[in-house]
Amino acid sequence: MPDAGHDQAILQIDDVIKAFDGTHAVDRVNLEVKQGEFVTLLGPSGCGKSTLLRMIAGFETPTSGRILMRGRDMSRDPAYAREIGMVFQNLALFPHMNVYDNVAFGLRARKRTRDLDRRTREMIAMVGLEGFEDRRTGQISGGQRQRVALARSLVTAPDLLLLDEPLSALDLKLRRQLQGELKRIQRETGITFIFVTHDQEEALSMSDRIAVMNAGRVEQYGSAVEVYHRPRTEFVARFVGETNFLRGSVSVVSGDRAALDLDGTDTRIAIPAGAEARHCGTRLAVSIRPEHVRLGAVDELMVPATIRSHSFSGSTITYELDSRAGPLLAQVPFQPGKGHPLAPGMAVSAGWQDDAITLIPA
Amino acid sequence: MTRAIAILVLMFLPLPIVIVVLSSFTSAGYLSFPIKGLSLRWYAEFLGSANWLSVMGTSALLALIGALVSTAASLAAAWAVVRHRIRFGTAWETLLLTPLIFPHAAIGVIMIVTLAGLGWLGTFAGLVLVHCILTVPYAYRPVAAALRKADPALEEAAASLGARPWRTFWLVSLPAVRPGLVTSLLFSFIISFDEVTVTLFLVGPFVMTLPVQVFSEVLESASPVIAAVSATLVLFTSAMVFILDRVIGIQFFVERD
Repeated sequence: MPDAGHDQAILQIDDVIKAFDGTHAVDRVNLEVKQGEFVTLLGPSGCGKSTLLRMIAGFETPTSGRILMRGRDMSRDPAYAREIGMVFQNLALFPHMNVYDNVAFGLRARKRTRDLDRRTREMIAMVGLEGFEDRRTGQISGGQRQRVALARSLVTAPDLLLLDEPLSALDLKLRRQLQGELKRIQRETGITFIFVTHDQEEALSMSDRIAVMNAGRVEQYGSAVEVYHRPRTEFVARFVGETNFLRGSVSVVSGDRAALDLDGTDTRIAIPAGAEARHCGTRLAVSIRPEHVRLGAVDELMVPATIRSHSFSGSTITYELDSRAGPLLAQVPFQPGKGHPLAPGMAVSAGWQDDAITLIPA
Repeated sequence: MTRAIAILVLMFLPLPIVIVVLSSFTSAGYLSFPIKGLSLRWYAEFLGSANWLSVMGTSALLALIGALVSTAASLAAAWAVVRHRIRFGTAWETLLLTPLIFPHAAIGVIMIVTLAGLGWLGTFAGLVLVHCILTVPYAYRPVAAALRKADPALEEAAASLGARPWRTFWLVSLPAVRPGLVTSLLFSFIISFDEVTVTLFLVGPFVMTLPVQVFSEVLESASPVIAAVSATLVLFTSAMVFILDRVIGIQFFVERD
């Protein structure tokens, strides 16, 4: 496909609200998705991500706001009139049809019968199910059912494919494998994917952009790296990965440096004085990822701490610390031959570099 | 002890049927048991009688039309209650089941008045209407249970693949509730085919059903032809249940969700 219009928004969500019995399941959401992007809606259950997806598919109508495809308002179009494919959480394969007829359904429904057989077999081959055409959907494995659902939704070459937690029922190993396959298929077909999940690891590894949702709103919309390393709200910092979240008030501002007095302690930490920390007295929080916390000998680094416990996960060791700044998590690479992990009760010090700090207005 | 009682009860249940079937093979000129000699003469009389055959035809047609109409109506009602969650859904469901609660004699009297008002008393159309009302309770429950079990996401999947509502209905929704539909058709057919009490009030010189004819024959004479008719009915219904169960599968004991 030529690159022309590659940056054009294929889908635009404009101030969309969905109210159920007076509460806003989706609350003033604005999003735009570019042609060919892999976008993930990430959030805990009940955050509105599935409702938003169902409005894009046409199964729910927005209470207010607009949903535009290529600039045309389609908020009130029936689902069958939209060129949007969907993979359902429970897959919703037609139980009375075999694999072939499930995949061919969309072509028959849209009366594209000329190259029906070729196209159907092509899709079955793309998901690696040759030889299973005549099987009933009850006679194949969970992973294979997943592939049928994917092939069925892609056979009509939709403008947009919606995926509603399609991998959540699978075990970890199969899930990883299918994640890779989804990415491959998305690259090969060039179709724009909108993927819903509550699994932040899945979101980080697959997406071009992630919309982190909470209580019906989009808290942050950005690349995986931005969402992880520059969370804009406390919710994002805590939901995407683990973090050390420290609150306080700005007490000193001097040039490009500032100091933050942490709540509930007598500890003061140094922070860069950005736009967030320009005045004394400003309430701020800092988020520091555990893998950016360094450990040193007593007094070597900024914050005195004692080791409370550790957990080993192969490549890294995560320490829980009691520190002057409160409880902290520090994740350090495990180096073979460098002896045992630090023992509980040991006195150490913890520190971090300026660029590990994300300032969040509190 | 309880086991013995249970076995006795289970043996007693089919006993009348066995007796009817056996006594239909009598060679005597009156109904009796045990039978005197073996003969097929009463079957010959039944199948050779234009009157019996025409009455059986009427009953079969009545039961067929009644079953189709009340199953279709039940599907529509269940669709509204289960899929569209209409207001007072459970109240409507209860209302559909009321023909089970009212005494059939009372329904018969009410129907005389109603059909007379419509000018349908003693007509085939009148019987169809009444049999639909009587069979709806039996038709509604299996089809509603099947619809509750069917996954609404299937219909959404079909829509997202571009299928318009009618296409979705024919290709996806209907196959999903097919066992329930077959059960509904079967039960309403059998109920209608067997119905005596209410129909007794409504038949006339121009329309007569098989069970009512059997009933009036019993009052007039004790001819063993009645046993032959009854045995044929037993065979006919059993065969229907057996074949449908083999071919499509019947949900006999449908549970609600």
